[in-house]
Amino acid sequence: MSEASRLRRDPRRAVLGGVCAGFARWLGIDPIITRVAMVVLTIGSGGGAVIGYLIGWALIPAETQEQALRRGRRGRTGSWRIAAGIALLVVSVLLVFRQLEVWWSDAVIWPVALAAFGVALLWTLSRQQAEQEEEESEGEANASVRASAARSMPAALRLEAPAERGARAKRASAFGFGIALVVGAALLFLWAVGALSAASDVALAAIVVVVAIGLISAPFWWSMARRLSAERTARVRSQERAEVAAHLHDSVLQTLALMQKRAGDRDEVAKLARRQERELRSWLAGGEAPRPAERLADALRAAAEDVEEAHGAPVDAIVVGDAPLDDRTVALVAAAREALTNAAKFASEAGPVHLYAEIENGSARVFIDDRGPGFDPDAIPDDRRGVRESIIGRMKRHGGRVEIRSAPGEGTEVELSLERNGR
Amino acid sequence: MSPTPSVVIVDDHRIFRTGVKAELDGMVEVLGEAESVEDAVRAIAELEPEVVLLDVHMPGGGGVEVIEQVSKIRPQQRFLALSVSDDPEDVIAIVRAGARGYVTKTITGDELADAVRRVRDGDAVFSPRLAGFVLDAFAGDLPAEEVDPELDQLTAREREVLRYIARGYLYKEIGLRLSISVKTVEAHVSSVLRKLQLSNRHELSRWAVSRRLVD
Amino acid sequence: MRRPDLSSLTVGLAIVLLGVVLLLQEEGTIGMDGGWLAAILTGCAGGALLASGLGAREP
Repeated sequence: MSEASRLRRDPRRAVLGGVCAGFARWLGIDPIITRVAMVVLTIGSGGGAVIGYLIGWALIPAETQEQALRRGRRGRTGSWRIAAGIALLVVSVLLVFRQLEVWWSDAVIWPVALAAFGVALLWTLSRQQAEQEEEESEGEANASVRASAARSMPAALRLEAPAERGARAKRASAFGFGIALVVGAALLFLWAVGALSAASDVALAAIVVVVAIGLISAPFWWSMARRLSAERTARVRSQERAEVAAHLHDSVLQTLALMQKRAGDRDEVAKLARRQERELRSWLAGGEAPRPAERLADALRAAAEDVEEAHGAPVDAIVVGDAPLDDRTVALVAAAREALTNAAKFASEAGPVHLYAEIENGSARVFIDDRGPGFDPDAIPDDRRGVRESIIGRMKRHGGRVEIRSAPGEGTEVELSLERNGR
Repeated sequence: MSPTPSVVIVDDHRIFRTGVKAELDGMVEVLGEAESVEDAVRAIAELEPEVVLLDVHMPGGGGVEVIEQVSKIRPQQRFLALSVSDDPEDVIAIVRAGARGYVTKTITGDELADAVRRVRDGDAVFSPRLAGFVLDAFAGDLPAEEVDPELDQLTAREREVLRYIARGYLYKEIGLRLSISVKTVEAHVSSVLRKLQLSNRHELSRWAVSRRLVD
Repeated sequence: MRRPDLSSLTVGLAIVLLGVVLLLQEEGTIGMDGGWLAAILTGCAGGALLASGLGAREP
């Protein structure tokens, strides 16, 4: 965090020396705002602010490549407040200059400042709009793929959720405000210069002409807008098809071909089918890719899959809750893996092996149940005893508990539990 | 010995319907089949089965649509949802619509017949995965004003029963383990089903609503 | 003692500063015409908004 909050020049996004861009990055806002502030201050101080810029250029070190890479993206909350704060600070500095008589004239500076803020606002908004539309069209493609593939219905229509409508309204009003600022600046200038009444005639004429042109060209704009949106839908649909086709080709077709070749070997076919089913299921569910090296739930599921693959025995894994992976939970996963392997090797004839895990607030309980022949806990043959000791020993070393219940003819239960903060 | 239950199978995959019919042969009486929402509603109204085996995903609105239309003309109809998907959205949505149980298509013939019998007798049937979802949905605390202890929380006993179901236990085994009768286990499971259908828990509403939005 | 919330602190300080300036003006200690007052007002408001926005930013 400290890296990101140090003030640095930004040579990559620089127009001149990157001082404004650097300030903007430090505050987490669009550099347009700081650049406009700089321009207004320069005009207001009759050029004096340039000295400040040069000092900044000299004194603030530039950001090196590696610092840029380490810095992440900053959030967007509070951006408007920051921008408004900067605007007011610029106004206050301008007022100070005015008091100190370092001034051009009221009629020039104020309209320029107002117009500059309006322009900055409109620019930022349109940039945000462009970014968002790009994100949206990608998101649509992804969402529609899942939806239509999973539900065998026509591609999902995009319905606007209430939150989106609210954001859209906010953006529209911000646009309106920006336009109002620029128009206000123009009117202010005309009034100050005393040309308002003359200007109003011209303005009236201009408005009439613009409205007329607008009415004439309205159908053109309308059809263009509709064509754009139709093109976008078509693009999304074809992206969909391409993605689904690619995935099916890569995975499902391969598996089906393999299954036909190995049709004689029942177990092999069942294994292939299960593996493909699992993979397709998780692809349809979308969402994030599992991170078996970072999340406990994913690690447990991965362990179950590995054991199922290795021994050809079905393993049902159900995990409720999640937690990040640390030393203790890594040991838990390892112990679970051993218990699962045991169950798969000796006890998978009568039904699938069940793994059920409950994870919450740092404590975890994992149950591994099978319907195998069971055993008498007091009469364990030597080769299995070693495995059991290793499961118990591993858990104990990290402050966990193991309970093994079994009886001949009644299957086996292994319970692994890890309480929060050791015992 | 209770009489064999009668079912109508609703699924848009012919191969699957044939397979299920073959597996249930002798244990369950198959009165008819349907492969679309309209056919299903018509067949159910005509044949009046005790239980409907209902696929979740079908064109025209899926299993949820079938339940909604049938409950207008035959409100006492019982549904057992059968699906290849175990997407929480689908599962919860169809249970909230009124299905009394949910099993996955990898289930064996015997277990399926048993589930049909259970639903016919008025009990709920939960697959291990559904039990896992329910535990997940009811995990965590709610702020005090939102909690209706009747509907929004599971009792400790219900949680235990669900845990055993998630671990793959049969009701008989659960009864033995907890020293209660099978009837009591069934009562607990039915109570959980009711909570699942009526609770205002955010996750449950979100899962059900998000599916309808896309439909 | 909890870490002070910087944005609230700045806003509070700005308001205090404003109050002090207005008070001193009333007392006659400082002779300030409208221009300076406007400058200080906008400066305080701007600073407060900026601090509040930055405060909302901190993850």
